[in-house]
Amino acid sequence: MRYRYADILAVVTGLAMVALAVATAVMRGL
Amino acid sequence: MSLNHRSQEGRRRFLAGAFGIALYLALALAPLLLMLFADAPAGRERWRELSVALGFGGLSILMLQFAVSARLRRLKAPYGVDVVYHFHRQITFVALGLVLLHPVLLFVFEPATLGLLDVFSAPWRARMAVLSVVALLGIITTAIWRRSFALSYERWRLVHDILAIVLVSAATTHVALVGHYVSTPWKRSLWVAYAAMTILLVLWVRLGKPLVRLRRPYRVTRVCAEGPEVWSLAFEPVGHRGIHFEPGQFAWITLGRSPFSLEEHPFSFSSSAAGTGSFEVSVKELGDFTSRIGATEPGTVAYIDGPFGAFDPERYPAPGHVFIAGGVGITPFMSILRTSADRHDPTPTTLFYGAPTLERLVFAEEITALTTRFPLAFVPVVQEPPAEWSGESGYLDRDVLERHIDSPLEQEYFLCGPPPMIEGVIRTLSAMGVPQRRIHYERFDFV
Repeated sequence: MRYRYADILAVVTGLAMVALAVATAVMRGL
Repeated sequence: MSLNHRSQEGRRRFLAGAFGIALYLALALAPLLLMLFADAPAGRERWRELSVALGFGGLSILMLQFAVSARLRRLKAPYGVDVVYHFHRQITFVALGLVLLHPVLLFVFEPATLGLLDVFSAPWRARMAVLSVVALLGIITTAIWRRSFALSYERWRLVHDILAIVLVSAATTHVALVGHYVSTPWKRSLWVAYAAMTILLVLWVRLGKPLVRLRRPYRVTRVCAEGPEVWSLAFEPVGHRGIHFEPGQFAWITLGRSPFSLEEHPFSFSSSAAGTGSFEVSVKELGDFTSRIGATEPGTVAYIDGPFGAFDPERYPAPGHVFIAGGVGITPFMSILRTSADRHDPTPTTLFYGAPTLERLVFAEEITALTTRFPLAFVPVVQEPPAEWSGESGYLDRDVLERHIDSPLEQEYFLCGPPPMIEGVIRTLSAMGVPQRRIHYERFDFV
């Protein structure tokens, strides 16, 4: 179960990173 | 340990674990949050902003890997170091995806940038980017295919460390040379702080911790054969109070070498955690190092990095505990059983212990004796028993487990043994309806 939580944290970190990158592109991009 | 104390410990551990995860996410996402909300240079095309943001995201994950992989006991304690290394490995693939998307977006939207891959004519900022990606790919391939590269564990660690330092140095230089997003003081400060953190962590792990260990030596006091190819080594502290660990934990041990040596080996404690600073480990002859373990001379100096690990049944109060050991996987359970006996643990416990032959059922006599000291049921399972054997034989299958476990859905299960056995038992327990959260094990076969 601990391994599954670690997998989930890795995926959540990646998705949060992509979401923030897209937000950056939308808000700051020309 | 009282139930009240255990629940307090559990709450404290949960809070520490949640804080660690929140801190990790905050540090990983900080560069992108700063890009969004702090003072920033003029915006550029959307695809370029997306590409750059993904690159920064990947780099912040990779820099934090120095903290994730460092053996910092307080940080690792809530989760268990094995699962942190699992995360370390999984998040690398996330970082790889982000880092590769960064140039790929550039190449797609501005194909002329493909010319930057020509390292002979490209500017230094591009060369550094290529070098960092090559180092990252080197890290991943040598970790996955270490044995195919014929790399010993120690040599792999050295390669891994060097490539990691090359990777972040080259990537940070790339960011500095491009300069666009580090032109504002906030962002420059952030990356300087991250770079400083990686340097300090490397210095602490490679110099600071060994220096601390140098002042806390141990001495081997006894080496004894427990059975075929299994040895127990006893250690005592020299000039200090020694180590205090929880049952089921382990430590990296450097035997007969300097604490700065890269050659160290993880061994489970097998002695009672109720000890007074001394301890024992039990080791099976498996690899180059362990095949010589029985020849260790009493008096040999040792250095200990630990304790680590979360394989501690006391963390999981339940109506009953079931321990399932295969072969030398019995060693952490010896520590757990001896500690339970010393602490008069009232938890009903069932130990299943599988071995190929009766001779290889090491510690069996002592375990039988421990059944009189606390509520322990001992179920040895011998694959090829002698004719007079009246106990369980063959493999640890569902029939064997169900014959000896009352209310299987209410127990907490702890597994230690060869990976194929662990996987088989997990499948069996799942088929019996045992939820995954009640099955506990540690894995150390990542590289």
